[in-house]
Amino acid sequence: MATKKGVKETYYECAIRKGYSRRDFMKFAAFITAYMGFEHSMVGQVAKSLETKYRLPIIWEHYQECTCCSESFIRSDHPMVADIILDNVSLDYTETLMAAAGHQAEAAKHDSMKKNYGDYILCVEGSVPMGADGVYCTIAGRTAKDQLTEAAAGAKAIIAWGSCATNGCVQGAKPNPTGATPIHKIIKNKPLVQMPGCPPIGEAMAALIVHYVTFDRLPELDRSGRPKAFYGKRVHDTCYRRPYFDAGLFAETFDDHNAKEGYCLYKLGCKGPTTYNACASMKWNNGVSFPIESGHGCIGCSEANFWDNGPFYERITNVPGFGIESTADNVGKIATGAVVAGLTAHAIAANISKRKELKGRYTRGRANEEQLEKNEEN
Amino acid sequence: MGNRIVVDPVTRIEGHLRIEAEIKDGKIVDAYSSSTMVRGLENIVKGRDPRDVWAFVQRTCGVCTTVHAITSVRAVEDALGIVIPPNAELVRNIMEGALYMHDHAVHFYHLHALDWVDVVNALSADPAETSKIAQSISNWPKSSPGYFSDVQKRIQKFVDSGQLGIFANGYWGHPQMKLPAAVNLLGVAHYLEALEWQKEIVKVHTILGGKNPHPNYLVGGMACAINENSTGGLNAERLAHVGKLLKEGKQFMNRSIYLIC
Repeated sequence: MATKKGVKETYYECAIRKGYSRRDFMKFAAFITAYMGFEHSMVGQVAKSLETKYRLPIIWEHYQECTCCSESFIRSDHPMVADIILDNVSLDYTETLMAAAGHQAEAAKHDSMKKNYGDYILCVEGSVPMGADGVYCTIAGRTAKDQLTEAAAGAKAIIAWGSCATNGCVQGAKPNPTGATPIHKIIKNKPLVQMPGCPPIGEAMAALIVHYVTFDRLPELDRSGRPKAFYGKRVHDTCYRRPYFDAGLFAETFDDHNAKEGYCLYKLGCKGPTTYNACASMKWNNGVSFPIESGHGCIGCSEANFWDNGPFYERITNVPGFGIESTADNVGKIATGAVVAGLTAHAIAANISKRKELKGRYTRGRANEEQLEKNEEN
Repeated sequence: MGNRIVVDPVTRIEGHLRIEAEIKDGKIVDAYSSSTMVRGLENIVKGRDPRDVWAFVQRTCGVCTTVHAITSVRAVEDALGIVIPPNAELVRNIMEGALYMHDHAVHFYHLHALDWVDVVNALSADPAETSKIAQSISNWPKSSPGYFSDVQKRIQKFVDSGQLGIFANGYWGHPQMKLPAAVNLLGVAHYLEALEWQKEIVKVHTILGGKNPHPNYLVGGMACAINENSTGGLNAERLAHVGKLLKEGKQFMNRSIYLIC
């Protein structure tokens, strides 16, 4: 915790000290409140918590990973900017950003873990290789498993960042040569938040931390340990191209007219119907776009074993019922063949009903082209 | 008889690295490096659909995200004799260009600068002198004595809090930190500016590839359709957004970054 001459510093004091105004601080609180999905009336409580709570020590471990989670985290645009989040939570250990290296880095980590025993949050980026006695990943001469067990002992809670820490991600794909193992299979006696995704959305990562800081407890999690605020809906449920799916309008290849019109990418392998994430609602990098909006199907990177559920460009066969909402629980109950047959019939029927519209679009497009050609000739 | 020094972990890199150096009479006479993490991606991609492999190998690195993906995509295209459309080539080049800018700033400041910019020493700098140096190099607007004074005050308060976070246990005050205080302050100011800016330039990847880190690629071309008359493709608004980000990136690169090298 922030201690200087025995006085602990709050987030509010920290913000003011850094030159932010009271107004900036309230805006920050309002952003957070909105992001956590609370009503506007909660802004006061959020602001009050930030004013009176102490800075939260964080130990951020790196095992078998590619650092995309850390990179995504520093991309967070709001809550506030990356440097404020980094400053407001005391990031006492992270191999990616810390100035110290070698034994000085390890010393900083152990100092913080000792001083804040029972109070710090352990963030884990990466999976733990259990094969060959853990030799596939060592830090400071010790195996990742050893490091994890030690750091977890004094942690108040653990956040498993990204698909590596939650399901083993790419190194856990067949044949999983290093025995890559997710955190929840190793540490079983601590509160654990699962934030799958390759990487998770930066703003969601920052919002999770701020939720913890504000309310001193974890957000509501689903049965897989994922925050409902970000993993409560399938990408398909919130996708802006969903109406095209319902209307049976699909891109058949990446370079056809339908792809240019932005029709549904389901037939090109989009895994949106089976992927729980906030990409279609929050979008990426401060809401600029997300894979489907940029023309590429969802590869399902926040789902366990997504690397082995491909190929990415093949149509999935276990899609739940179309048009009518279906929960994940029902997916298994529906006979796959019937669904696919039904879907095809639906697509044909919908295509017929939309034929007029399609024809109209082609006609308008052709007229535009002719007009352009004429203009050029003149 | 020499001494052996071990640095493990080497921080501010992607991945895990251990360096052992043998030192004799104050000089390094031999050194050994070990990558202390392996995932076996080469074995994992065997037998996969070649169209998918870009995504697997892209996960080699999330800091220089895209470079392994584009290499994989090109390898598959070369093997199959695929010639991609000119627009797809342009889109790829724009994405690589944006990564080039992003990676330079992040590497220079966030992954490298703390080895030779002394954050604590910057507190003793004269902001007026820093301003003079900055203005003599370029016309980057954030260069007034007041601006550097504010940055200095912010760092002073940060250090005073006693909670140094990522700056804890750094090599501050080490004799090899040779930059004058005024230049250290310039470095710290740009470290913070670059942290803000890096999340902007990656939006080029978000528009063209859907997200960053790890935007999407496609064997045979690019997935983002160009359609100036639809919301479903790259229209004038999207292209203008890319243009603005690149323009701002260029300004930042030319006028701010590398001022001190």
